[in-house]
Amino acid sequence: MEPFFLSSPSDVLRAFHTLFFLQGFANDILASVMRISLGFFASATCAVPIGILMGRSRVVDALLTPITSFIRYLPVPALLPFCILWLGIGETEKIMVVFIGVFFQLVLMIADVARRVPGELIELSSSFGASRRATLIRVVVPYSLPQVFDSLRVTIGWAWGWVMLAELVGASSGIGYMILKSQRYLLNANMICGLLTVGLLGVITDALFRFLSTLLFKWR
Amino acid sequence: MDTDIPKLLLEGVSKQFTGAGEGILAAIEDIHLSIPERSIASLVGPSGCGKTTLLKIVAGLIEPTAGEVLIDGQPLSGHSRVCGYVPQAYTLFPWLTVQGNIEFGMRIRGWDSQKRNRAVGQLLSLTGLEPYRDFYPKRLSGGMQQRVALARALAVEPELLLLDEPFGALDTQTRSLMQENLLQVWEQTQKAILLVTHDIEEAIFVSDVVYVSTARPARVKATVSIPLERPRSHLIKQGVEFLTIKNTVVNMIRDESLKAI
Repeated sequence: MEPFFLSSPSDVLRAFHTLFFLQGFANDILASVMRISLGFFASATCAVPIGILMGRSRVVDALLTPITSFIRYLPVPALLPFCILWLGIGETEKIMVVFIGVFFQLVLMIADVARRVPGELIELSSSFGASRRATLIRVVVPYSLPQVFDSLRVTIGWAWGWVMLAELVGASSGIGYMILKSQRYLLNANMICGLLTVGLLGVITDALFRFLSTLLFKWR
Repeated sequence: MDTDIPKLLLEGVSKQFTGAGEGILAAIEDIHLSIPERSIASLVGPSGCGKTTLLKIVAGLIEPTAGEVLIDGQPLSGHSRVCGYVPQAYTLFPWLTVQGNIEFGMRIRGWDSQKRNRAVGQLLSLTGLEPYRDFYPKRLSGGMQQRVALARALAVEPELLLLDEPFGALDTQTRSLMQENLLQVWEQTQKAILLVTHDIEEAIFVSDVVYVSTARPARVKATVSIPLERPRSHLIKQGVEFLTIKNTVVNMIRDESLKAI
């Protein structure tokens, strides 16, 4: 194939070298990782408790499910202009894009997980005189945790998509920004470096989640 | 006078479910049943006759449509103490170890760790589970899981024990051993027990009284006293006395099962 369309492995290796040692690629990686971490952490901290309440309480479910289902269907790229309008093009906006992209999906997934706690376990808990609150804390949460963890593992993958989007529009750092810049200058090997980096970080994150999951949930 | 008050008294307890589009379904109808202090009663009936519903009512999980549930002569609703409920297929909390499962009810009741530990120790030795204290349920055999569920129910010092098909999921040999194990536990704790089963032999073997239930809706069709001497060993199951009682009950149930199929 023409090197113009697909760079050779040696070109890519050379590009990696230049990127890291001359163009501060490590800072771009760090910028993307920070945005994902903060955006994802924020959405997980909100989505897990809210989702569990949605799954277990009819009132909360009736209040929140219609809104979240609606927003979930609004494409994040279509919300991007408003994010920029309201928050500017700084870090807050990028983190917000990740947050919106993850939260509204995650919260519904968590609600489903909480809904699937077997009725027998809930009944058993009540038979010991447990209040709804006690059952929530002592039965619903521990039973759901492994699947909550699985949902987090899946959605953090999506977070990479959203951070790339945020970095393609109005950014001055990040892996997405580097890819966009490389496209402008036809530095195709650099673009491949960007993709490889994202993939590699994804694999590492996934392994980390799986390791933690087996460590935390020995009972499974 | 006080000794005449039964541990558990059911007076005309009925429960109807209003199903969506199916009209009203009567699960149990006008159940009268009484269990004296320190005795074991069974309710035997064909599968799906509403026995579980009755247990859930006594456990306080379902409100009866009509009738009264009295524990020590007190209505159930006013009771602060709970019954020790062992659900069908014994259902352990999979994320808790044997000890954690046994402690569950005690934690709900807010017992301190010293009190919990003492109780757990006693229950583990009572049920022969000491070596498995830190095991998760998935690593236990069916018989062990059943004993954990029993220990968990006993842990909260319940007024009475409610057992729903306690040995239904076990193989015949284990089942027979577990029945004897239950009787040993009962000899030591002297708890009143209400047991629901479709296994006639099991009901007769463990009980002082067997209530024979009709097919759905469940009603008490007959009350059979079991005058077999205690303590009982599995050998009595071959005795003439046992077999005679069994025959009587089998015939009663057969009529009902025919109606149910």
